[in-house]
Amino acid sequence: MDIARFFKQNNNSVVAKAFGKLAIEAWIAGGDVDFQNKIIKDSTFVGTKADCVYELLSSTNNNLFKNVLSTFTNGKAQFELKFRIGEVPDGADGSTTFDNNTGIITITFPQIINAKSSIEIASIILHEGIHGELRRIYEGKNQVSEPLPNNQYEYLVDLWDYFRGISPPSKVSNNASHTYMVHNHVLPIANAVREFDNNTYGIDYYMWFGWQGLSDIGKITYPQLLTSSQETNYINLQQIPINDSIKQSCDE
Amino acid sequence: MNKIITNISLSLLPFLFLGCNIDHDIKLEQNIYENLFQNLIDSTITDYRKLIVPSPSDFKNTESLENLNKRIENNKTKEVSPLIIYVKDTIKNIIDIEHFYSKIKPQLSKEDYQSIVYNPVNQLKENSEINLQGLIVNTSKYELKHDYIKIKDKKLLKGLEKDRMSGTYYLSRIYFNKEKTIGALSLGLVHGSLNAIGVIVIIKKENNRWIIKKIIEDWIS
Repeated sequence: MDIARFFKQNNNSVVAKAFGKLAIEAWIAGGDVDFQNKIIKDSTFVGTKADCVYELLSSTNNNLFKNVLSTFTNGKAQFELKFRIGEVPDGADGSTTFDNNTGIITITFPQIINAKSSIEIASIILHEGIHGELRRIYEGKNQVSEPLPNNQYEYLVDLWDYFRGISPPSKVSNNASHTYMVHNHVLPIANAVREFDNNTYGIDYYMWFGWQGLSDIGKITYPQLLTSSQETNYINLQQIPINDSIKQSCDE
Repeated sequence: MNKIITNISLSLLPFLFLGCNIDHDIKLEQNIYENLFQNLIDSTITDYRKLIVPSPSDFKNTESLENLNKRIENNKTKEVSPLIIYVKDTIKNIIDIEHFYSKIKPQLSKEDYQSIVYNPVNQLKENSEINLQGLIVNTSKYELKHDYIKIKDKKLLKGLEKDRMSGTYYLSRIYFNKEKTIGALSLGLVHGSLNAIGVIVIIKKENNRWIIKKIIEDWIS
């Protein structure tokens, strides 16, 4: 699709112009742009192991990946998604940024992510992708393509309002989206990673992929959704699929 | 020969001048972090031991909301030991500077914004270190530790020590305007590999004291 047609189709909107500007910059720098699906792969992301896992998740029709990213990738999204490799503090495996002015949601992975196994990378892409998806729905007030069912959207908004009242402003979206994910996404992430790993082991071996980043909240829900002994068990079991000799094509 | 030496000396002057300024910036940054760190923690931390997390059923009706409020009230009086805060002593220069400037732009006057962006000292900033011993915090609330344990190993900590652990703070160099009355910095707080936040903080000098003017959400993980 040429850029003029893209602007015309999007009524020359501010968001479309911002996307166009980023797309041109990405092109010049050797990145990859999918105008139809409004996804920018920054040049730093193209050709990396993380990109390979992204493409593998996409081509194998992974169920959660489809659900999470289909709204971005079906060309109907009001917001656009950008993937890049960049600076993230040590110890963090990814970050999701939302730009109010452009509507661009940027997911940044640290360079070291490419040293991880494919299944670890897949779970990180899914976790950060869900952050992007929840932000798309919250900012779009659920008046978006493929909205959440009303009761779930209300819960998401209730959480945002609740944490706005008790958390520092900087922690509101993190606490709200992680709490929402604890109640809705732990098992789906675990299942998606298991599916990605060709269902090699039972679901318990993949549960920590789902709990990663969410366990602090999961242990204090009422009733408690994760106990300390479950946490230890899942952390130990996770090491088996990570360290076994079964390799995905991106691991080779 | 003398002329050449004079020319070289003259051409080095701006760098020497800027170099002095950068050194001065580091001292100033140390001083600011010493005085503002308590506020920075209070504005970014979550003590999970005191957090009440609502489930969908808590918002169902008036009765469930009342129960939620009761749990919140009960938790407020819960006594907890000081939270362990890890801090990296390296303060890094900001790599994605365009993104940083785009975030602070809407929060500043045009003059202040331009004064930061075009301050040559900011363009020469390099990673540096602060002395963590100088950071002032309320010790009944927080216990500061130098971040020497890798995040991965922290998962293996057990019991009370693990419950008291909050996360690791990563601080940036502070980018000032030329008059050094406004500054901006980036702060990351990593609880775990997929549980972290990043904020950008605007600070201002008022009545000879530095205060936090605005905290802007930058990213979550």
